[in-house]
Amino acid sequence: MELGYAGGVIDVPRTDRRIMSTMVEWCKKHTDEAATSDELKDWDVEFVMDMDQVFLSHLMLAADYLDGTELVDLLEQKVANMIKGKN
Amino acid sequence: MFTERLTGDKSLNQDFEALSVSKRLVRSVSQKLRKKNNQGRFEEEDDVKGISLRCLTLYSRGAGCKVGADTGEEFGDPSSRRRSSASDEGKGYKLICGTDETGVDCFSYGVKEIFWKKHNRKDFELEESIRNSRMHIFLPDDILEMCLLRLPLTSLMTARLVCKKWRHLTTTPRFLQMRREGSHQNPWLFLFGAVKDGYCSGEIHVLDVFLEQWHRMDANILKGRFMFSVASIQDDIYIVGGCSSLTNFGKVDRSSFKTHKGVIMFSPLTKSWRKVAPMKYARSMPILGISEVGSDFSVGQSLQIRQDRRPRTRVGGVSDVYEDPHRLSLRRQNRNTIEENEASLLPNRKSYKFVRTRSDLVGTKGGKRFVLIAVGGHGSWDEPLDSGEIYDSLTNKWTEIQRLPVDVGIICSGVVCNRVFYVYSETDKLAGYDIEKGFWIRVQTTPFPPRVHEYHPKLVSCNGRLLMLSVSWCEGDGQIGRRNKAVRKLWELDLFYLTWTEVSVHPDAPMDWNAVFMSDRNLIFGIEMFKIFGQVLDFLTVCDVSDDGMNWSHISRNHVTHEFDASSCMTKSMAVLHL
Repeated sequence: MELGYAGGVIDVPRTDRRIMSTMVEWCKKHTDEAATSDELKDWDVEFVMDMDQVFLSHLMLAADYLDGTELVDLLEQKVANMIKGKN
Repeated sequence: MFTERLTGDKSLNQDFEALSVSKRLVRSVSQKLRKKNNQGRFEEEDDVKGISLRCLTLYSRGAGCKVGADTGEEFGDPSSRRRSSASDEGKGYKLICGTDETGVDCFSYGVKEIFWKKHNRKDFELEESIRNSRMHIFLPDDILEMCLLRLPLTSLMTARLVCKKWRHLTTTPRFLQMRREGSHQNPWLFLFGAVKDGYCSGEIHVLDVFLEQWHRMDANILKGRFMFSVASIQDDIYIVGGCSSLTNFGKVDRSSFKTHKGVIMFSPLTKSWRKVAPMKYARSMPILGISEVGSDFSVGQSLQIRQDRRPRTRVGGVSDVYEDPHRLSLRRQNRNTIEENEASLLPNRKSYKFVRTRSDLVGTKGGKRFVLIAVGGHGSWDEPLDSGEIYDSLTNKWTEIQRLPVDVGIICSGVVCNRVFYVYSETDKLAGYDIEKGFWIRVQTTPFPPRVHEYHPKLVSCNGRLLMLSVSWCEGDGQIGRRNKAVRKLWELDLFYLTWTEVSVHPDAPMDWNAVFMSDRNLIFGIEMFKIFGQVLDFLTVCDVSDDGMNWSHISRNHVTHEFDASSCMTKSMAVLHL
């Protein structure tokens, strides 16, 4: 898992409860060994489906701060798709 | 990355000042126009070809760039704006369209990257959604850059027009390099040689393979030119040789024509054309091979053939080398003689040194050094040529190379594979020109299965593999009444054992004896054009050689050739670029 919590507390500035909980949800899903990669892909698509831009940006900032590269990649792809004109 | 961000901010501050002035001016005009345009736009979206794409650019404020930027402000009438923009904002701002019909005029930063015309419905919807959302989020530059990195070319071109920051982010060499390496690019096919109503139209039809969209570009410089060859490397296409009619200007005229030596370079990304050094010999339909070379490459080794004025004896003298490329001792001996010759050619050595110091001037685009080889083709009196020449991008010069071994015959196809330029002749002989060492080798392979004689095989190279498409007779499957039929098959040459193996069968019946096949990384693209039932049809196929099955799939059918003449089938050529 990318986000290496060393057991201490990491202070993430400029995030709120909603963002953190969403991120934790994503992390939990991805560390779940039972899920196959196809399942994860579908889940990811669902995950980003209805995100609005504000939330997306905040989540991306938080993920970037915590070096959650997979999540950042996913969100970047989402933004790229939005720029392209698809959803 | 962080230093870039800092400088980006600095320039942004300057932009703020520059832009704030214009915004005030604009607001009043845009208010008036917006009402009018809103109505017009929604109704006429299909008419507004290319305009709505450009209008996308408007949705960015001066204050940095936001994801989901708002403002639906339109910059208004250019005639009033032009004066102010020139003085206030200085360089880099250019107005593009003045389409008086719709009354919408856009203000766009930088014109050069625009090269497409097609209207994209999806972009229009984005435009709406951007207008609806109003937010002020600042994403850090590095994340924004990563997002823009994933865009396909058409969206990238649009993104460049959004604001100065996005334009800057997407045009740095580092960004372009990352884009190239990160597999965010897609193949683009360029079809040349369209003939309409007898005239060489100079049109280039471009297929965006990823989106399966055709675009059309007009190239006036190619009007009237036919039977040229094309080769692509990095982001450019080279157009080599060809003919032009002397009497019927612009038409395909095989009775009275002149043959060109000229070479033109075309950069689709900037839609720019540049003449490069002309060849030594005028050629039509030369066989081209193009390859990147290291900076230590020297064309000097091929100069030894300058003394080669009696090709037969010379070739006879070292025929052992040609017969068996694995006779290393002979090869070494040959190499030594080349070096001796080099040493004796003092004037040439000087010029080589001269060239080396100038190396930093060449390659201004940051592209790697490459060589372009042209062999064969037909000369000014339509005679088949056996000479060859090599072009070095570093020196911008053509140098003659050794003539083809006599027994090879007329070359019908060639491709570079692993720094060897392989050529295939009409008499089914394979030869290879070692680019580094500068001489020809006859490649003896296992016998090639008999093929249909009119269909010349086409060589392609993918990821260091040498393949060939050839049409042969296929036996019927034994059922009564099933005749033999002609089938186009894909063969691969094992470069070590020199054996041919059949790897795939093309699904289409071979109707075009001048079908063009080009490879791009692991993909082989093919185009066939032929006239049937009174019209010209086109079929494009692609095969992925990294796939186990190596199956061919159709990517486009009958999209471009409606207005083409039948002679386009003969004059067509194709290039593939990864953009």
